[in-house]
Amino acid sequence: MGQMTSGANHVSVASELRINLVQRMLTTFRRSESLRGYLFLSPTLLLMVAMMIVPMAGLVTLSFWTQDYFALDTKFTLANYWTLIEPSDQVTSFLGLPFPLRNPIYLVLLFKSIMVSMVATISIVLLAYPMAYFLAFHTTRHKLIWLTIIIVPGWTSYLLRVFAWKVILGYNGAVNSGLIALGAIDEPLGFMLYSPTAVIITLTHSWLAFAVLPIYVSLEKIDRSLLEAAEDLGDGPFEGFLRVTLPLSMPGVIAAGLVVFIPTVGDYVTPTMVGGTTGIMIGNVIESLFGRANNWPLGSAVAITMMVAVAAVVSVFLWAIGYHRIRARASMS
Amino acid sequence: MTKSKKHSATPLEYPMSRRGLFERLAYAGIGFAGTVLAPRPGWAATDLTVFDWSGYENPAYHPMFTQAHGEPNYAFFAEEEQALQKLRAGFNVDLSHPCSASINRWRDAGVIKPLDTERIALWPQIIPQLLQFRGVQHQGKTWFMPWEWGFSTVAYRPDLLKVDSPTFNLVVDPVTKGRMGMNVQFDVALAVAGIIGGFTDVFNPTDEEMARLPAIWLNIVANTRFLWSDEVEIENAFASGEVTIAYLWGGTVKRLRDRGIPVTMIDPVLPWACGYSMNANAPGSEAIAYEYLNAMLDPVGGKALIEDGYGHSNSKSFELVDPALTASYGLDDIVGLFSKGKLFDEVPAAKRNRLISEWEKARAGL
Repeated sequence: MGQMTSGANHVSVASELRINLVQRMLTTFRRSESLRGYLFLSPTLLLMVAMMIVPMAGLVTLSFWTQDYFALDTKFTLANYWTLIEPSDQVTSFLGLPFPLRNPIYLVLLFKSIMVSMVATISIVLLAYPMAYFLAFHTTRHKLIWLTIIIVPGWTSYLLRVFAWKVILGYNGAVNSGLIALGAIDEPLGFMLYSPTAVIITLTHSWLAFAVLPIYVSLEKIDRSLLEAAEDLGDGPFEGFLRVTLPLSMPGVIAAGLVVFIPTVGDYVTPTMVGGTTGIMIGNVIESLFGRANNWPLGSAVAITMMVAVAAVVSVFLWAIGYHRIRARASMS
Repeated sequence: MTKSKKHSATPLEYPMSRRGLFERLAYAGIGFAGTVLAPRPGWAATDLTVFDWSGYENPAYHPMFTQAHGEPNYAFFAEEEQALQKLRAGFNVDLSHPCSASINRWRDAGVIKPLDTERIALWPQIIPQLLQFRGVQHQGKTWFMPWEWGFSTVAYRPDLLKVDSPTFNLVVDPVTKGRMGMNVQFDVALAVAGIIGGFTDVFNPTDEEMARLPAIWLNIVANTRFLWSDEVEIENAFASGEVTIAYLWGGTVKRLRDRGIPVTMIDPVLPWACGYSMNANAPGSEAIAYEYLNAMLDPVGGKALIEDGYGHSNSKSFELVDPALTASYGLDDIVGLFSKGKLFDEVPAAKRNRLISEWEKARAGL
């Protein structure tokens, strides 16, 4: 009997302690807003840590190791990065630029991918701007319908859109059949598909919808009275556009450019499907290093080099155009 | 104290305080993140899973198994090396479908385990030549059950490309520029280049031959319209006349001819054999996996396979098929096929990486 009582006492002391602890935690939880904020974000944070930060750390680590048949040699080495930049007497030239490297494929394809992406980005922005302009200035009713019409192509699968271009540009595709039916050519034109041009056209179409929205938002924000003021002070429509609308919409244009440029440099699906042998890009080499070539460490090093190169290009670009000044001006309006 | 001054909001309180709202949001976040930890019944199904090339899931190839158990689960791959990397990364299946040239590699990677041939009743009916391939037996154990065989080759459209005495050199001939379809795999490119360059052993080039290889590959790539990895893609390009010459699988040649398209194959053909291996870390029942292997050797299923243009590993299957049909695809004489052609073989591990990086470089036109 006495034993039981003392046992029950122990239990109650322990449970009291536990209740105290729980209560204290609850109080902390109630008082700290930042803790609550983090807890609210916890699904996203967990996902980010698990899907982005951990793999990224793995990629960086892997790039300092080496592959030895099926095993990984975990001794720290810079050999993979040296492979990318090792000089050689033999000069490979690409687009007139000399690459005096022993393994020129990586840097040449990186350079080529950045070029392809830049051309695609420029054509996307040039095509997206008029669409966004129309939406912002020339639609008053049914704006939602117009927006939807622009976004609808984005609802179909990316792969499907790439395939669609294969059908359009193909040997027996829509363009060739059309030209033959019109009597413009006798034999299908072979150069349209499986070329860097095909990659650029496909990328342009696939990413267009993503570029329209940021430009539209920044055009929509422009104070219309500024345009009236420009008109009152003697600017024609074209001058008004050049001096008011365009500068004030630059943040949107830049955002659109970055949204498109950054992911397309590493794109692998599009060049695989429509690039042929002349259209391959750095993404294809990374894929092959992680697959056929069975060299994950080198693949990691190439992937990281690509990320650093893209970040560098973007930083230089933003610095060169004086991005902070543009932003300051846009927020003043 | 009025109700609205309480810190903790009750469900019906409006307007909800910012604090109350945040608290609810925090609970929602914890709850949602917690769902990941909840048990998932039905995730670890222990049914048979077969990792296969697309097209071999046809129930007509294993009627015995279907009658007993229904259909197994399938996962697909398009390239053996891609499949190997997926298995190495922890994709666990019961059976997979490599070809004879990769068995050693797959075994070295630790993704397959030896077979107990006693548990496969139809094993003694397997054509003996197929059991002689490199890697089928290793250290007294059997690692692979040969199942289907055939050949690949360079073939052209005689109606679009007029040539007198066709050889593999057509692949690098300016006359086929921009109209030639090559396969993306490095060992295929090696075989074709080796035959063009007259290598003694195309799958094991000497140093001198390896030095000549990049130039041949660059010529091949310069002529190539696209490097295919998808059989349907090259079949359609060949049928439409987009390419007039291509590296093709035997089954593709048969299907093209069935579509009424003239195809001329160029010698030498490249014979191959593929089959099934049991995977290490197989999640399902071993007994059911053995039943599937046995069912795949059944001559009734073999007949269906032969009629689709491939050879079957059970000699009895051929007795069920019209000999004229097998002769028309060149599958009537297995000994002749494997002795006259250049068998798809394993590239020595020491040369493999160098060859792959050379091929990648050539692919990029450098």
